[in-house]
Amino acid sequence: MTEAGSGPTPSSREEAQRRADRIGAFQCELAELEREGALRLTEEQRAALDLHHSGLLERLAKTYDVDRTDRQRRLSSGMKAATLLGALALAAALYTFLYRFWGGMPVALQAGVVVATPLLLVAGMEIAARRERSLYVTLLLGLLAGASFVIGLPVLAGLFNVALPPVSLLAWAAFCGALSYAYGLRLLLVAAILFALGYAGTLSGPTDHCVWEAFGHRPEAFLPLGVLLVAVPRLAPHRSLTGFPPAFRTFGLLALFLPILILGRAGNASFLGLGPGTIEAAYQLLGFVLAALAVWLGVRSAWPEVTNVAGGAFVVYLYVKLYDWWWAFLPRWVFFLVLGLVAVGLLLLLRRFHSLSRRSTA
Amino acid sequence: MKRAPLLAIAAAVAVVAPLLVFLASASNRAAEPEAEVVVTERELRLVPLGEGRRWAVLRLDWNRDLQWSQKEPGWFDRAKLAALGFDVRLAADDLRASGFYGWQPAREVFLALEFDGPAAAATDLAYPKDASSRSRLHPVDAALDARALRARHPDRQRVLVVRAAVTAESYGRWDPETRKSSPPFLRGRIQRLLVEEIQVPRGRRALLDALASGEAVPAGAGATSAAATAGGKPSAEVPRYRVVLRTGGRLEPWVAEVSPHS
Repeated sequence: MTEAGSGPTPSSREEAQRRADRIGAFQCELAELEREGALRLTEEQRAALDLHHSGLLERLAKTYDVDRTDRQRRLSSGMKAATLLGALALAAALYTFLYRFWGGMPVALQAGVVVATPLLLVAGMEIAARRERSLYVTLLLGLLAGASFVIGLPVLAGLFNVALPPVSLLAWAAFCGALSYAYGLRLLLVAAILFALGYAGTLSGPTDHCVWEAFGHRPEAFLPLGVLLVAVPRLAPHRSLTGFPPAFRTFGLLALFLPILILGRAGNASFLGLGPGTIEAAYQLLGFVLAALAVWLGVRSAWPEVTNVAGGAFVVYLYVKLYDWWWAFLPRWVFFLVLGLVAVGLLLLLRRFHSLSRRSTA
Repeated sequence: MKRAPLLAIAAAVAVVAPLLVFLASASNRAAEPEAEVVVTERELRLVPLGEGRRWAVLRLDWNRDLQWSQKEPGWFDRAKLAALGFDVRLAADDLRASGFYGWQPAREVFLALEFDGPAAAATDLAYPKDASSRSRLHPVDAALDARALRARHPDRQRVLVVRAAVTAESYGRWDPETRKSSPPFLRGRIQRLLVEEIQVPRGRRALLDALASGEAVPAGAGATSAAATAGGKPSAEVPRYRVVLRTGGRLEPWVAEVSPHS
């Protein structure tokens, strides 16, 4: 018999939480099986199992501060919400406080405050991360650091009357991305991805200067980054940061499906020199094929976020197409009836897939 | 993943990005000014105080609103748009023109702003209302090459060359009397100057701060006229201050001097 609660230590808090959840579910199911008489452990086995689980949970709680009960889980959700709200409120407080005295400060002090604030907050993150296991305060300070850097750069540019180029979005992405990987903070990773996508959105041609106003006028500029984001978890496995790959896949797919939706309706927005009608038809077709493939890939690889995003995109593409075809000449009630029937048809199709998958599992 | 290198990256980005802003500002002001124009409150308006801000900020007024009353493209026509790299193959009255031009991305160009020149005189003639208080700064030309633009407008005391974001559009002017739009024409539209709001260093701001807050002008600011010491809202006729405005190597403007308007 091994020592109580021994075994490999999970490499991240998420992994540890999943293990704790599995233990909880196992204990519930075991109690149910014993009540139904399907399984009966001896007293000795039961005691050994309980000892092992309690030791393991104790170790996980000590190392990662995992939630062991439903009440703790609810409290954790509340703490996450409080962290977000706290970060927003503190960022607003910091901004308005500095703004209040900004005009009275000499330029050197203003510049010093702008440069030093994110650095001090990063130092605060490091101190907090060493003292707490749940990383709530670290996340809060990280959000504040990101906000102070993002707000500070345009303030500094304004102070010296310098035009801030959209490439600053890449600096913000790098800052938030580095902090997200340093502490495993998914919210900062999402911010980094959005900044990177924002920069891609301002690209309007291979030789042009980027300007903020060009954002979104060439939706194809999002597509290469979308593909890259979807591929990141495959190119660089995230063994300890298990929450990151779903974020990459979700935002990567959104960066593919939304531009394709726009290009399917506005061929003029394309880089390609073809007629708008041809471009729109090609992107509509591409959208349906890509969404269907992504649904299949999501089901096959057990990536629920891929299935959900791609399924949602497929339905939106379908409804938009139905709108194009029928909205103008069908009575409204017939149109919505058709939409309803399409939804029922999709439901039946998915049920068929579901039962096929059940049979193959059996 | 090791934490230290990632923190070093974050710290480096947080230091290098502001450093690049400092360097951009330094390179803008390092050499001789590219242009120096003496303007007044009509061209550099005080941005109203608010949202906790208690210091004066100036905004370049280049008659943006006149773009909406245009009846013809003027200098910013099809040929100019083509020279700036826009695709102008569709006629403005083509049914597809709105979508075609609407989706073309804005571009960064160099813009010539003429102070108190023929463009201002022509505007005053066409729109006599507000002629005495309107800004005398008007966009008169644009190019992708700043030197070529400067060569076409060599007067550095009258023409500022600045950076701006512009776009192409098929524009039909709405006439409220006939309740119809005029036949559309293709024109370039200036979306904004890349530096439009201008911060003034604390040492040169006493007069502007006093005017913005409605206080009496401090004695040290050297007010000389009743209008200058009045504070409060600007007079429609009499500008209360004059500003020496310079642009540098990066064609970004800054305020070199502020004084009461005599």
